[in-house]
Amino acid sequence: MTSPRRPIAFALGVLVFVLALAYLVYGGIQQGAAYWVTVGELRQATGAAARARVRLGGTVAPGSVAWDASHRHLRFAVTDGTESVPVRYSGVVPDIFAAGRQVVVEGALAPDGTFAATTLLAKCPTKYLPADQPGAR
Amino acid sequence: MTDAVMVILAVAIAAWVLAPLRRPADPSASRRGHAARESDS
Amino acid sequence: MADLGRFGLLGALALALYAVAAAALGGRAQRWEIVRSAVRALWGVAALEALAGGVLVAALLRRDYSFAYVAGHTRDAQALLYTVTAFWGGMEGSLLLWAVVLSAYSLAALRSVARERPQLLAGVAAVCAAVAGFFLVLLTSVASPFVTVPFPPQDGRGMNPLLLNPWMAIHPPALYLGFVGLTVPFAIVMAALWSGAAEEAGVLLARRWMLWAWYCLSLGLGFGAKWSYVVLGWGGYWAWDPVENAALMPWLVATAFLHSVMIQERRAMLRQWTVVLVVLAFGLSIFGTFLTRSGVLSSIHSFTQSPLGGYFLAFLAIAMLAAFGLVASRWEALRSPNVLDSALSRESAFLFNNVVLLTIAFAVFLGTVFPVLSEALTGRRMNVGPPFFDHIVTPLALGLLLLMGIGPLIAWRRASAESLRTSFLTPGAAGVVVGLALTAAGMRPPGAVLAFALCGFVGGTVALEFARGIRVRRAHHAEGILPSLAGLVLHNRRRYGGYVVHLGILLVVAGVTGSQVFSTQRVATVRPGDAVQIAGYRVRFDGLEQATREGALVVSARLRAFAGTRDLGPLEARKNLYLADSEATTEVALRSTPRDDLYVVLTGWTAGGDATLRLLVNPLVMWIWAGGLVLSFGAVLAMLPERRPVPVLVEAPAGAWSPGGP
Repeated sequence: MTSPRRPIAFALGVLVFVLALAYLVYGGIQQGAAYWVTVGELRQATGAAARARVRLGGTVAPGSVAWDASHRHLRFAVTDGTESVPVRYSGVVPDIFAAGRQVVVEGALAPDGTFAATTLLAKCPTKYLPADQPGAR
Repeated sequence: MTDAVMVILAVAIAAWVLAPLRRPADPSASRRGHAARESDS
Repeated sequence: MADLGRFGLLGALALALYAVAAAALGGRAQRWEIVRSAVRALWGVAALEALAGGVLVAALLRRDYSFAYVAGHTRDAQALLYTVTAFWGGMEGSLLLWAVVLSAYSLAALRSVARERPQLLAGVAAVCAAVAGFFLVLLTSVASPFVTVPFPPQDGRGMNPLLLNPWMAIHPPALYLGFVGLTVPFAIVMAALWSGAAEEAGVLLARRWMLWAWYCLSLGLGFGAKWSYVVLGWGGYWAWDPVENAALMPWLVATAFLHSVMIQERRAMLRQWTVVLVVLAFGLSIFGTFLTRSGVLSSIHSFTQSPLGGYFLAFLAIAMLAAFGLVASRWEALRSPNVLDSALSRESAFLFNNVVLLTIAFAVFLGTVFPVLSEALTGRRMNVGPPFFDHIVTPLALGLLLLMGIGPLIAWRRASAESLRTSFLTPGAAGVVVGLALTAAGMRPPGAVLAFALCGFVGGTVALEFARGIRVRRAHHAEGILPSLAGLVLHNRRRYGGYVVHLGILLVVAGVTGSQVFSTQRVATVRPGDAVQIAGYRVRFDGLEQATREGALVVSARLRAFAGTRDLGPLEARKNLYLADSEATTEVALRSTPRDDLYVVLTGWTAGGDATLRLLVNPLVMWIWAGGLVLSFGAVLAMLPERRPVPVLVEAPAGAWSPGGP
């Protein structure tokens, strides 16, 4: 790029910038990062690992979707084919959510063994490819 | 029908694409003129 | 018919490969007739791709379900418009669209290159043909739109109803026009470096193309945001979804280029940097397609199952290695004779702007590939959500806003303290006044106050620039303010178009700040006749209605909105349930005003006629769309050709090939 007149000042500037960025990235990861787990991994997790905030991926178990009377709180089970975890959620349910669909829920396992989800993302079935459904949420 | 169309298309396009190779540009002619005409065609 | 389509693609592939070889050989050996043949081959590629595209369109229109693609993306009941847009509704079709657009661009680029920089013709043809060849390889092997099935189904499966929306119909083509548009500046710069014209690297010719690509990407991002807002019913317009990020990253890099190229033009500085930006923007356009098409984001494992990802990654690696290799070999020739004179100069403000834009792009990249990265490094897959992006991007975006206000005010080379004082007085005061006024009016979140104050500052800067220009003009011509303004803008379209774009960005920032910081939300279950209070509005629920329409059960909640006692009229929030395949779509009840949007979603209902509503009041959202319009206007202004350039023979360095000849 440009050769600066004062290389030391330039280097210092770069250093400050990089440190600031690293700090921002670190803070961002602290706030927003969650491990992906499968149903099996979540079932086997113990102790602190079982309480951590994670992203759980799987299929909505057929016949498990139950709304409360006011249609505000949703309960369903996420399965990986062999095991399943009950999930409770209240929030925006994507239109493409349905039994048998792939979903990703973010949240943590509650003491009662239910997964308390704060985010629910549903994946479109094969028909449309990811590039055209940015809002798969 | 389709086969005939494909063969004709293939031959025609190949002939047209390769045509410049068979008659090299006259070095005395303005090559810039060629360039402009080629890209305008 | 499918045979004709397959033939078209295979023929185009053969011609593209021939064009690469012919253009490279012809350019190297300085044999003009071979280059002419390569250019003709590119015309042939375009014609055959158009043939293939025509076959696909015809199949869609005839609803010929023997084409797997047609059966997968339309059905008898699908409206004609969406049967046509199904062309880019799926992967195979959108790759074909990509190839067709690339060919059209290549021909247009060859035309302007032949006129202005004929010595670059061979290189541009070779690069365009190589990229076209890659997409044709995909289209003829792993992603053929012309796969047929022996027993056609009675009816197609159709597109997901979520995508049957006008915004979604135009969002993908706008993005593709932008993505593909990034190939042309790349081709021009590569050709310039290859032919040895490194001193300005064709960057100035590439600039027009970059502006066009940037404009299309902006439109695509805007359409996508609008679709997300009105169709998905979650109340937002930007989710930091990988697919959105894929388009945002090249947009950021293109923005950086459009600024740094001004310095190159004016001061012949940053030449190495602008070239790197061009390569990076192209790489990100391919990477974005890879990201969204390969399935790598759902899991590394699904990535290995789809062959497409491997092709993309290989192409990306080869292209980037070759491009950066070429740039490195010309690095010294690109070095600028000028250096940065002072930290207080427009050059340095632009340099900062570039650094911040690239940092944002990097942060977005990091967040987007974080799952893949963490899985590769630690074996465990980790995801970062919107908080990650918000946390990093917000401060950087505010910094960028500040630079947007500073850049136009500060002098080239070295700014004196005196000139800084006079320039910054008015815009600085505007910013401070906005900040104080909002604080006095009771606005508390410091981030929002800062953002609006910076908006005031940038607005002041733009206004000052216009005022200065008009004053200077009126000192020379006797004319009114409006004719003077028109004359000013029309004679300096790029400069003032750029300022108009800044105004558009300003409005978008104000809208985003308002809606992100001050949005209110309520979920309520109501009986008919009940009313819900939210942020100054009262929404009364008047009961549910059911109807059947086009294979869907439509449930509507009849609503009436009030502000205080004033009746704002009826609203209707709908849910469409498609019985055939258990799909559903939401139709939001939306009342948009410049002040705020009232946004109501019907989320559920009971047999007894109760409804559950999600209500949001999002302030200032309308300004985001208004900002998009202003931005488009400015970009169009900047793109309009100035006067038709007189063809100038460019002095070629000794030994370089030039068809113009000595």
